[in-house]
Amino acid sequence: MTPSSQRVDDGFTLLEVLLALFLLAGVALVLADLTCRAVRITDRARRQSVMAMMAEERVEQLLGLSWGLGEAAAAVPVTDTGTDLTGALPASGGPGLGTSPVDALSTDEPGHVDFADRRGTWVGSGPAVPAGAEFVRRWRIARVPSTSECLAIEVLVDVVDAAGRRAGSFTGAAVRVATVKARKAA
Amino acid sequence: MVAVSPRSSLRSDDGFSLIEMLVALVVTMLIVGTALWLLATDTVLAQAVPHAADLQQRGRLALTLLARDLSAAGAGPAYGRLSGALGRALPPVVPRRVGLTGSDPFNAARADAITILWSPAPGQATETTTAVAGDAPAMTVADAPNCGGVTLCGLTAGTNIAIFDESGRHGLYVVTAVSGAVATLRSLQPAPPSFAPGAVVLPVESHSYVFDTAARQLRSYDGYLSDAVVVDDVVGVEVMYLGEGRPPVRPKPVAGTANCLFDAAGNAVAALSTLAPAGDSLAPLPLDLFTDGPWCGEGDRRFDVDLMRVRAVRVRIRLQSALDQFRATGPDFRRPGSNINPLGGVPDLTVATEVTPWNLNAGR
Repeated sequence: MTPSSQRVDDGFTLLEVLLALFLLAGVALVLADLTCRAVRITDRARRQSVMAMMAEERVEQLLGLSWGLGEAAAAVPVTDTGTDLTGALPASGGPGLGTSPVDALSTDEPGHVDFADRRGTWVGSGPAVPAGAEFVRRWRIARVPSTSECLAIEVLVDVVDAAGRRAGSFTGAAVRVATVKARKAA
Repeated sequence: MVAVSPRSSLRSDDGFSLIEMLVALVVTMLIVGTALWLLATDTVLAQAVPHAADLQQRGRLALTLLARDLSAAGAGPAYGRLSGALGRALPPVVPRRVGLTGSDPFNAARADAITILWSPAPGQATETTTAVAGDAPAMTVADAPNCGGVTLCGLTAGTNIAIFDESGRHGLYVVTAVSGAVATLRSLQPAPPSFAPGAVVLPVESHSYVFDTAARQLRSYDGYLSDAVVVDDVVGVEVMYLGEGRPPVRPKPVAGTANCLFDAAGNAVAALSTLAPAGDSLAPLPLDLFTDGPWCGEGDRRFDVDLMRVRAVRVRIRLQSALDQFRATGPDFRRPGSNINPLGGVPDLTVATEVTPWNLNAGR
């Protein structure tokens, strides 16, 4: 019997086998972690898309409210101060394009907030966070200081936190869109 | 390896005890089991993630294209008699497919199709100087100040144009040939109207977005020969219209002529309903409002005059994962698939937008 043939007969020690298994498990763990990251990133991208979509939608809806000089020959300023956009469809009894409270983006001001589920579908308008809500959308209307004929419109969409949300508890990944609406004639 | 000594060789002959073997086996099985479970989960997730990302990309693409075209809807001539938005004379958005092939009838209104009309070159507006016949149309155009003396105001073969007048009568054409100052046209709809000299001529683009239910595709049709797929694996498209509660006051024909809204003396003839606006501004416009007349325009380009009320368009598109293996059953899946692993499912994605086209909202 030579030393080398004896080595072959010895096979692996338990320690060697365990080491190999731990290595395998480590590699599997790293791979799993990578995939988990991909899943998280894809989900974050989905949330960002939905939030951007919701913000754009509300900006367009606010731009669609009357803030013009009418279609008559003589210009008469027309301002919508009665449309409620917090429902699934526009309704009466809301603030329209009336100036909103200054903290409308940081707290739930009636008429300036609504909630959507993870698909971006409207689920309610508060004051309590409705069941199934994943996103909160708030908007603020202000006159541009230097002119009374322009409105500054800001929309903020953020994720509702899992614990049911307390005011101001945000994730920091909010989408914020701002635009200006000027009075125009026909 | 340890050097061979009498003691160690004796030990190796002893082998493992049963307890040692069992402990080693259990530890091995635990580690191998965990590693395999991780790998299996990992494989399922790694396959599903690219499909989830693809779904989002398709959704964003469809919305971006639609919103871009909708934002331009109604851009009309920058010069001339009917300068301003197209909505002074004809409806810039209609709820059906329109064009040379596969047009829906003029009195159809579908929730899963929309045609958007706008001018990509508002500065090339001019007027016809000859009558345009319904059959074998051809025209010469005025050298309007904005045309700068360029033949046919720069219209070349291949340009899509609209010819229209104040009454709502309009037709879409493609310029097939230019010979000197005469442009030969081909009508993009059956039964085109004829126009007296002085009708407005404008380069336009018409895009019909149509949901092909059988092929599950959202398609974009340019009204002539290009009918392209925008996105695949679409399982739902819903277009909704919001607009004026007050009846439309356009198209208003010139004095002495009548149309669907006014008689020759300029008096309103149609009794159109006033819809209660939801709030101060816009009323939701049900689709059947667009199928009951009165009908303005002529031939296949007739339109329900209530289309002139439209001020905003809301679109929802639902997309599914392309592969059956990533779809499961339940409310998240319009078409059930074969997936049974809760981690491996890619739920349907719904994207939505609302556009308030600038040119549909003059004066607002």
